[in-house]
Amino acid sequence: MQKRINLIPLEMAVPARAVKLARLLSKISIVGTILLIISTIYVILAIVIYSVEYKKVVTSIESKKIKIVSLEKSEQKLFLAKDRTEKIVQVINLASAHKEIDKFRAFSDQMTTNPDSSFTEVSINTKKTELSISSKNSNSLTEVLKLASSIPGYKNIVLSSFGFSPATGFLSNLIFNIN
Amino acid sequence: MNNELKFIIKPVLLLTILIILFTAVFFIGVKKITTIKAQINDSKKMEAVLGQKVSILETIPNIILGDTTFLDIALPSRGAVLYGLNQVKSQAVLNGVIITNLKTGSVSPEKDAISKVNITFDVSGPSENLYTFLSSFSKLLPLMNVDRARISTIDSTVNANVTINVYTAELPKKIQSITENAEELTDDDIETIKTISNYTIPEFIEPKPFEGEAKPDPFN
Repeated sequence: MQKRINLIPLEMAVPARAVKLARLLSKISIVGTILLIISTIYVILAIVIYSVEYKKVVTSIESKKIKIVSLEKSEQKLFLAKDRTEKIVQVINLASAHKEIDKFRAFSDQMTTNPDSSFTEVSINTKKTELSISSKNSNSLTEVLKLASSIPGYKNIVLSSFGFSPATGFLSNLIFNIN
Repeated sequence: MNNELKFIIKPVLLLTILIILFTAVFFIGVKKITTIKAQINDSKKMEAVLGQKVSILETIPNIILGDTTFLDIALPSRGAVLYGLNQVKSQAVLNGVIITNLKTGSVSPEKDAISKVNITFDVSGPSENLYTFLSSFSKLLPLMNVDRARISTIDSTVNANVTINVYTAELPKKIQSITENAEELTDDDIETIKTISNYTIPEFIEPKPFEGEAKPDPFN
């Protein structure tokens, strides 16, 4: 049987535990190196792939910007249309006397059935309508007041003055308040 | 002890270097990847915005058809008074009423970027014609409305002193940048445009050259 003879001097010998530790560290280093290579490859690949994707998106953005520049006239039309429609709606919603004029016109048309009454003066604005009405007799005056009270859309109707003259008949002043 | 240390120092150093390299690759790599991913996300958002803007702009020729002069004239930035005067005179001729004492006021602010100018005049004519004339202002361009009317009747002729407001608005001074999102026209906007397109715009007449005989030259 062969016998192992250790010729290394005792003072130069390395303890067994140190040898075990060194071998363990070497194995860990090998694994670590493999992991390092794999992770480096992964990082490089990831950077390359994402960079390519980023370039694609940037190219798409640039082509869309070129398309938008070519649609400049449409953009101006849209911008103007948005600006104007917003302001047009604001203006249309502003108070106007034309509805009051239409109401007065309808009232005036109905008054034609009452020949003994007539308007002497009419003042229409965005807040109220003021009528001066001359009526030859009390019946026609009553008809006028009945007609006036049936007009919709007024907060109140005020009889601001009322007079009588034997020559001209009744003279009444009505104020139709909108608000 | 020295031999032990000398023996294990190489593997320890190698492992230490590996750990440092691994940490560097990990942190630098992850940071770079995170940065690129963030750039991609931001760019994709921008791409979506621009894509939407392109599709909105491509539909505009189908929504706003033909000549859009009426949009400019609805709230002109300049010349609103002249347009207003033109409309007053045209409608007076159309409705068979007589206009006198035509006066204009100065521009006064209304709200936001909208201003108004008032035009005052006396009008006389048959009552039906006069009321039709006064009602016509709600369907004319530029946008105008009757502010007040004082009406009196003498025999069968109705006389009125009328003040109308003509509205004007500054044009937008700054258009949005290419990368800003475009607001598409809502159904209400389209309805407003359709309504306004049916209003009457002022008549623009090209004056014809004089066809009569030229005056003799007094110096010749």
